This record gives sequence, structure tokens and C-alpha cells, in this order.
Amino acid sequence: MNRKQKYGQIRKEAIACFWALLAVIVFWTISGIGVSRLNITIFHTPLWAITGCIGTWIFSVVLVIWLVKHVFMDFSLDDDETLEMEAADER
Amino acid sequence: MNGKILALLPVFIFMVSMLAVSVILRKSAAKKESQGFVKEYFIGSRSLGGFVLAMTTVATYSSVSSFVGGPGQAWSIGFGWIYMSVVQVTALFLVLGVLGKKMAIVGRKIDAVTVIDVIRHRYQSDAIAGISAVIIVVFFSATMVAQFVGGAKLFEAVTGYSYLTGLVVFGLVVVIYTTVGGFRGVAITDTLCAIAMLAGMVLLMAGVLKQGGGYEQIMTNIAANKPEMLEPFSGGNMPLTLYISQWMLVGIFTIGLPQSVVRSLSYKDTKSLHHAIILGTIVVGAMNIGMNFIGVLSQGILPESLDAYGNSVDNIIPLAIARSLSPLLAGITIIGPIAASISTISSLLLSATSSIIKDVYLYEKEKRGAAVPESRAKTFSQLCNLVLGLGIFAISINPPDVIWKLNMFAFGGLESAFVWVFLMGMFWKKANKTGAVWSMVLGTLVYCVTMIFGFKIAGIHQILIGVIASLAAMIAGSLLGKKTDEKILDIYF
Repeated sequence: MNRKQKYGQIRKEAIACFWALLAVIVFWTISGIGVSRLNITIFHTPLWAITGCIGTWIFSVVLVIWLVKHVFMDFSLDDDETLEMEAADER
Repeated sequence: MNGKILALLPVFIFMVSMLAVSVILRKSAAKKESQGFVKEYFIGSRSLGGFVLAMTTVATYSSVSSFVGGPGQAWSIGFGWIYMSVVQVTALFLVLGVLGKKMAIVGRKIDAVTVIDVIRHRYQSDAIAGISAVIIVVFFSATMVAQFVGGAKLFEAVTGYSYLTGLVVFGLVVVIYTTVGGFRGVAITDTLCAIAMLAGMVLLMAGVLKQGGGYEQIMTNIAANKPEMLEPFSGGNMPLTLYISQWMLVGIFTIGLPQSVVRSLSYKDTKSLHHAIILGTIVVGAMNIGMNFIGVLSQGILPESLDAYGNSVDNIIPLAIARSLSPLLAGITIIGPIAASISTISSLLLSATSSIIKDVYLYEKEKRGAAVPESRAKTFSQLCNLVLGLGIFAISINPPDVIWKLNMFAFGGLESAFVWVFLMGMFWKKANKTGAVWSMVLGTLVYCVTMIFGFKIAGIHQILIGVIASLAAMIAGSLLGKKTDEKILDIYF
């Protein structure tokens, strides 16, 4: 990957993070404030507290793992172009 | 007296080991300072792995208020407070996922050691670098004082020793170990601090559950006596506007905090970054849910109204520790919050020092063509860190009111100042010097002024006005100002 391609990939990853943020906000709203309307209690704990807090946490972790596996890419952080040019010179 | 010594001992041993770790790291780092002292001292020669990167970012971000003030609020508000705090799970993937790689590539290319190096280069402006340095040093210093005071008060409440003893035991040591260890020392001690925080949390949760007569009993009592604690809006104590405010203040806009962004310059490779994003999200969630849950459960042992506990929610966790654990266990548990406090102090102190030494002193010398020998850079860096740390320590003995105001302004002030300067600088070609200067100055000013006068839009925290003002200024300035040189832009786009 040259630097421009890396920057294209970084832009893609940044946009994916933005969508992930939106997804967390939506999940958080529905699983907390939304579920609280149901008035369900399990194990002496209101259901919304479990889904809104632990649920949001688990949702975020799963989302982040998905992002890392499917959107994020590994590449060198050093400037490959300079390195490649040096290598070509040597050849 | 015996009990008191038992309570003091664990913190003392922990602090001594922090110091030992820093000394050992410094010695081994000195042998391989191939990349130069400044780079090693301020960013650990870009060598952090995923685990340490995650832990140091989380530990810097979790302050003493995550362990004392926050859970105290949860005791009063109930599950709504936990629900609010969980929004912080977005912090890691935002700062590291959005800015992490770009900052790392650019940082390597232009050989940046501080975030101000990047800002100065991107906007080709000494003015913005100078303003950044002032904002960082002022706000960081106020935050550090608050951390010192929070930690020392907790120490006093739990161990029975005086405030000043607490301040000396952990305050002086953190200044010394940061001075000795530099960034690598800070990162590793932060990691140990994060582990101590989690351990303290587990211990306290077990203690509170046992002392309160078990989970079922605590929850039954809450349902009978304070049912509003089981509702998300807590009977009006936790309005929607507060949720929206907190989403912005401790969630979304933490992406602009320079103390977090600087970590993007310090890690080794993309694998480490990915690993850190996942691990950090897990740990931030566990800590916030766990600590605030303890706050709610403390109702089981502290069931009366706030008047009975000195009229401050800050007293809740110290009382919960003292009433539910034996002196020795209490002493081990307070390592958690003290670790939260010192890990924030160490990072801020080193960042503030880097702003003074690298961004002002070394830069000015270089500009005038005066070479600074390695040995002098080393002495000055450590001396500056020590003097600044001791100064802040001295202020913490009896902090003036203005420090509290500054501390209240610090978090949102830093976010308003830096968020668009970083984001637009990295992702918007048209962002230029004029936009950046306007954004930083106007964002900070508007935020602070509206905070002073308590002016809000739709009941939402002033951070909203701060970031809107700084965004508008960035766009207007960038469209009106002179375009950035293509050669410079080529590095960023």
C-alpha cells in the first residue's frame, strides 16, 4: 500500500467509526430508555438497567471487534514510498 | 493506631513499587536511547504494544472522579448514573479509531514528539502552537491539582492519616516517578494502575455486597425506599438534557483531548492499535459499570439521606470503603482510586512538560539555529517536570478557588479548543491556519464565558456551544484565510 492508499483506507475506517458511534447511540437509547417502558424486573434488577448498561457495553465490544476484523486493515506506519524508492535505487 | 498503619501500608508499598518500576525502566531505556532522549522521554520511542496502549489510555482517562465523585452520584441517582457513564465505551474507538493511524503516519513522517508538533506543522503556525501550549499547561495543571486533592481527601477519610500525609505519600512519589521514568515509565505504571483499579473495584464490590446483606436485600430496600433509583430519569433527577450533555462531554468529544491523542504518536504498529481499541473498550465499560454499580449498591450500607454523610456525594465511597472492609482490605482497595488519580497526573504532567520543553524551549532554540546538546535537553526536561510537579503539589496543599473553576472548565475547554483542530486538520484539506487559530481561541473563550455566566442552549451543557462556536470559526476562518501550502498538504492527504 502506498501512502495515498493508506490515507484512503484511514478515511474509510474513520467513517466506519462514525457509523459505529451512531449505532451505539441508537442501541443505547432503545435498550435503555426504550426498554424501561416495559417495566420488567428480573433478579430484582430493572431489565432496562441490564440491557441499557451491560447490553450497550457488550454491543460496543462486539461492534469494535467486527470493525477491527472487517473494516480496519494492517499496514506499515512508516512511509513505504520512501522505503520502496530506496530499495529501487539499490537495485 | 495499628489499624491505621495497616490501612497505610498497601498504598505505601504500591507507591514504592511504582517508583522502582520507573527507575528500572529508565535505566534500561538509557541503554537503548538510539532514537534520542527527547523521543524516548516524551513518547517512549514509538514502541507501545496493544495491551500497554489500551491500559495507559484508559488509566489517563479514568480519573479520581470515576472512582469517587461518579459512584457517589450513582448512590444518589441510581441506575440512571450507570446508564449515563456507559456512554464512555465510545471513547476508545473514537480517539484511536479515527485519529490513531493518521496521527501515527504523519507523526513518523514529520518526526513529531508532541501533538503540538503536529498542529504546528499542519497549520504552519507558531501562533497556534503557542496558544495550544498555554491552554494545555493551564488546564492540565488545574486538573492535576484536582486529582491530587481528590486522592489525598480519600486517603484522609479512609486511613485516618492527615490530608498532607496522603499528599506526600502519593503526590510526591508520582512527581518523582514521572520525572525519572518519562513516557515509558508513565505507560507501564499506568498499566499497573489500571490493574489496581480493577482489583480495588472487585474487592469493594464484594465488601459492599456482603456488608449490605446480599444483592437481593439491597435491591429490595432500594425498591421499597427509593424506587426512583430504578428509573432511567430517576424521578426527574436525571433529565434527558443531562444524558445528552454527558454524551457530548464524556463520550463523543473526548476525541479532542490532547492527553489521549498524544497516545497515537506512541504505539508500535497497527496490530497494537487494533488490539488496544478492543481491549480498551472492554476495560472502560467494565470500570464504569462496575464502579458506578458499587455506588448504587452502597445504598445497602448507607441508606440515610445525604445530610447524614456530610452533605457531599464525595463522602459516599470513602465511607463505603471504611464501613465494609477491614483496615488492611480498605488500604488495598484505596490503591484503586489513588491509582486512578496518579495515572492521570503522571500523563498530564509529562504532556505539560513536553509542551514547555519541546514545543517552546527546544523549538525556539532550533529556530535561532542554536543546537541544544542532548545532555542539556535531558537535564532541562527532567528539571522542568520536577519543578512543575512540585509547584502543582504545593498548590494542592491549599488550593485557591480559581483552581476549582479552572478544573471545572478544563475538560470541556480542552475539547472545545482541540476537537476540530485535530479532526479537520486530519480530514479536511481546506482547514488552514486562520481557521485553526480562530477555532481554538473562539472555542475556548466562548466555552469559558458561557460557563461563567451559566448560559445554556435548551438546558444542554455549555460544551454544545463550545464545539459549535469552534466548528463555525474553523469553517469560516478556513474559507476566508490563506490556503495551506500544497507541499504541506501532500503529507496529510
